[in-house]
Amino acid sequence: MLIFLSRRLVSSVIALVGVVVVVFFLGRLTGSPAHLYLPQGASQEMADNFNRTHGFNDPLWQQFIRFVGDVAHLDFGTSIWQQRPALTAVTSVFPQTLLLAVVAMTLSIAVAAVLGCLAAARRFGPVDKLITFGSLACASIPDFWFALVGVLFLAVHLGVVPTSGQSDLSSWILPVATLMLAPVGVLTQVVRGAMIEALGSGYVQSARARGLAHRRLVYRHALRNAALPIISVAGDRAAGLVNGAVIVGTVFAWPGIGTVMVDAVLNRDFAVIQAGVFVIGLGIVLLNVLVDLTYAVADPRVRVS
Amino acid sequence: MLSTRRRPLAVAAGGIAVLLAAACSPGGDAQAGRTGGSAQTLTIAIPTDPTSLDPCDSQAADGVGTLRRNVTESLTDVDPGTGKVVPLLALSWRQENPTTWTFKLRPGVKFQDGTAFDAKAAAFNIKRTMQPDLGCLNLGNIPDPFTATAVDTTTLRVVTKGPDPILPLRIGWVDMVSPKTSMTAKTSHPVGTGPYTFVRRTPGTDMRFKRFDGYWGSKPQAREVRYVFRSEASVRAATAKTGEADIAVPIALQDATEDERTRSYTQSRVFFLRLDTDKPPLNDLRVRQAIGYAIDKKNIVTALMGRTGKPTDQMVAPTVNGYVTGYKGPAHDPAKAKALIGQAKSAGVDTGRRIELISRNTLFPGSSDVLQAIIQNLKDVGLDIKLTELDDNAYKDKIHATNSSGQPVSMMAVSHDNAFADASFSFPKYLSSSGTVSTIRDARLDSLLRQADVAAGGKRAQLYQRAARWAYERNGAIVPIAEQFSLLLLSKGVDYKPNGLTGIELPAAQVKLGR
Amino acid sequence: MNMAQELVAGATTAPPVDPGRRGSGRRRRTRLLLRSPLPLTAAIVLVAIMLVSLIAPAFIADAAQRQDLTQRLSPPFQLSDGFAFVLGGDTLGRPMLLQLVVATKTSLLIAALSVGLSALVGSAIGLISGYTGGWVDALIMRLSDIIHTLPSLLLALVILYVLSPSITNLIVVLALTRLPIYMRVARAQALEIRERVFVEASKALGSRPWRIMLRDIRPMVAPTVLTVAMLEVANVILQAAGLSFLGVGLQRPDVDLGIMVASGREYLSEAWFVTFFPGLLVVVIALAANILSNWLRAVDDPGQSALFVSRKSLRDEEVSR
Repeated sequence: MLIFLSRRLVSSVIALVGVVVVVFFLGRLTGSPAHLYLPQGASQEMADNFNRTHGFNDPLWQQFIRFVGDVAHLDFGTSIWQQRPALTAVTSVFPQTLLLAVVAMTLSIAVAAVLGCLAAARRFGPVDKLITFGSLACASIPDFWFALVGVLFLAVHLGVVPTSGQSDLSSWILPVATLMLAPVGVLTQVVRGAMIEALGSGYVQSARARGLAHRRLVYRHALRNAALPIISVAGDRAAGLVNGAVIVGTVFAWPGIGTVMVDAVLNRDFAVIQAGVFVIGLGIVLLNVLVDLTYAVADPRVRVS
Repeated sequence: MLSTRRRPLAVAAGGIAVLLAAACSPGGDAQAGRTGGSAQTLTIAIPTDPTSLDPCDSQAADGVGTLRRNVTESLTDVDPGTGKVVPLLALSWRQENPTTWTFKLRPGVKFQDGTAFDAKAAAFNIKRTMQPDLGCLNLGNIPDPFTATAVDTTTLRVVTKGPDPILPLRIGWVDMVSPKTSMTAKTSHPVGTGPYTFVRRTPGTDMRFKRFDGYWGSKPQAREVRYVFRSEASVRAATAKTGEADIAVPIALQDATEDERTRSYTQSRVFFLRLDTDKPPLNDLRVRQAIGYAIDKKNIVTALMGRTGKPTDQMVAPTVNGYVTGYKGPAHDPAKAKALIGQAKSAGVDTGRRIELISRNTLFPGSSDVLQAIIQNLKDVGLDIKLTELDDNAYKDKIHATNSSGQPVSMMAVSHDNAFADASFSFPKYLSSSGTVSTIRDARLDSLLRQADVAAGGKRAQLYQRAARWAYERNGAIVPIAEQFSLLLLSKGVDYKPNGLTGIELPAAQVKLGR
Repeated sequence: MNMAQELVAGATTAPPVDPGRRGSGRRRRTRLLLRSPLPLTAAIVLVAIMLVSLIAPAFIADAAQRQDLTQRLSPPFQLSDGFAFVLGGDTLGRPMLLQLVVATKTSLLIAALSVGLSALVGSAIGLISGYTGGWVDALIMRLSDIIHTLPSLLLALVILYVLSPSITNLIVVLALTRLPIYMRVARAQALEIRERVFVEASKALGSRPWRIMLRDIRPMVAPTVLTVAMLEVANVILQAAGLSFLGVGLQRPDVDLGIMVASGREYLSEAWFVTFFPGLLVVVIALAANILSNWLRAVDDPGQSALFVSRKSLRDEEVSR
């Protein structure tokens, strides 16, 4: 298992380096931000000077070599826009995103587990159909649309939650709900499917046959067995939460990596874009390792292989 | 079945516990409740996090001023009512000769870091702003850099390259920062002489100022000012509707309330089209004029811009001295437009060539619809126009490309403001051959503008107006559409009277909090 | 290699159908569909939407783009201005109904082409990767990890800033960001199948690898990829909408459902219908696609789950088998 994990870690780091390289070149393709940071009517001399100071007029390969050299000791450069180290700019907001993602994911799994079990237990019944239909509908709503309708009704008309920003507990309701939409929809389906399969599988059946008629035990067996696909889909969805965080950041001005990255793209702040992608990528790599570890704990068979 | 449900419920309960813990953590901003913060905090919702916090970039406020008159001040300011230059950090000034001015400075003023404000500090700031390496955005309003020396602690001598009759106005674009500020790098922690001290900016979230006790003037009411960044227009307006913010600025037309909480203000801003003049079919005067006749300004502006627009035939607002009173441009006349295009076509101009109409996403709220309506008008008279909306950086690249041969023929949608109301902040840029964003090459216009630049008072206005008339009638590269008005929304119990300067400075001291 | 995802691919997608039963499988599906009300409704709705949006735009494209400022934000459900305005007028007084039809066509086109592109390219790469194994496999899987690690919305944002948004670029970007899914699914299937007897037999008979891939493995992977692709149609439409919201969607006068929802959102409190109808259509299409995809998965794998299959039809099915 350790060998497996370390192999995974090494290959993931290679992938991460690849990501940062791709983003470096993509970013440079958007052109020099000289006109964004210089006065209207700036002379060519001023533009050249700006590009020289920020190293934009060197050949691309030179910029790249310098970049790789810096990144090797975790220096992602200085943010042109925020005028502080890019890595600081990113790490100072990343915990906020992480917290939001953890809250949204935990609640999603909880809600999905309840709904999925309910649906599995009443397979093909009206409750099952309602839950399945509802969860699919959840996954089909554009998230920004849901968020804006939420602001209009809950904040402006009813006044029960604030429109935006991070303040007391009620300000978490809309952002978390927006982030939960898609994961709940998908996870409910996964839980339901996995539970049905687990309930029908050999050992639960045989446990029943052996007289373990106590439903509690049956469900404990089944739920443990169903945990594997749930964990992996949840892990996969957690990575997708970054997309949701961008939307939540834009609509609710929720502090976090989403707004910072969008602003960085708009402000042509390459250093922050690169640092941001690196940190997000690292987070996802660690998440995958965590998922694998959980796997090993939940399923002894994996540990052997 | 009950027992199985309990398990996931336990997980859910755990999740809620995490949520609670999160909300109680110091990361959560518990202070910003539904009342817009504590009784002494003024909260203002603005669209974006400022790109730069250096006071020498303050002209790029993009519709909302934050630092000016709050954290920093300049030597002079403009009275929004009369348009006259009034004293601020300078008490008086005198023109010694056409290129030399002396300013008498206000004594006893201190920067927020304790440094005294004197003539040396003022000279430092002028030198700093003029420094080309720093790339100050305010330089866009100072085409010819000037120099300054301290005569004594309260006397400053300013020398300009050529005669500049509006120097006292222009020098208002030099916002004074503490001499401890770096000369070679822009600052992200501005220190000025204003009534508020910059506390911090949390990128993407908010920016805070707190009252400066050593301020030379009277103490403003709000103890703290907090700017929150709300890019989504409807959400921004909602913050003032619910009272989370005291002011939301600017807001979109459709978010305006019917009552007097929605206030309108002018930034002497005009929305116009700037046409290429070097490529067919726009290199033909008849085609450019036809565009003026084809657009049904009145209908489009009334229907789509409502109280935020007023059809205009000029590229500056009536407040600006280059505005020609009584001038009437081409009226909506599609038949005439068609005839002009027909003439051009029979003279061999390729009138069917596709023209790109370039705009930016943030030109003004609803700009995309207005441009589509304009395109419809132009299509109706037989032109082929394609809309391209860019982000700010790409747009700025394009607007500077005034005669790049590789580019397709295009026209730019421009929203240009001139809060200081002098035509020299508008015409040379857009009309002269050497103008940074001008597509016009006209010797007669150049000479008129040169004369106007060094003239003063009534003569200056007259010359600028002659230039403007010449440009509108003889060139047609500028197609004015509408004078623009901005809207802001006040929360209940808050009072603020916006004025012509609101777009670049919104002094917290002018806001009355009703609590 | 992402073990987790692979296991999921195994757990949530159907095991390959036995090639011998393919014909009867199709017939069985049709029979089942006719007896399952919800999937049947979804299929009918989807086909109807597709037909209307494919045929109608040829006749109404001009009328859909015609502006009439007197009809600006005219309210829906009034027939006084003609049937075109039954769903109201948009911000420029264009008939909402006709705009919706044209927008649906564009949305479906974007979804179909980008899903098709990524399914084709992704599963081809996945097949090669899974069948070949070794360092090729390792390399390709790292590539998949790279694309997968980048948040797709940010990737699309950066690319579209560079390339400027157009229908083609949008399709390519959406296809690119969804590539890893097919790579993984196809690879997992190929890994499993290549160990099977008939593939071994083919190998023993001297068939070339590409022939085995094309002839023997592809048909078995296809149904799974198809099921995943069906699900992805919904995702892609939603993602295109998200891009429009962030300002890098299509450029007017091109119109898809995403840009309609996104630009109409500004009028949410003044004229709800400008954003509601396109939003509803997105939900309906995505929901129908989701239901169908879910159902397809279920009939291919009756043991696992059989969503929306009525109890009666399932019983009949079991009896008839």
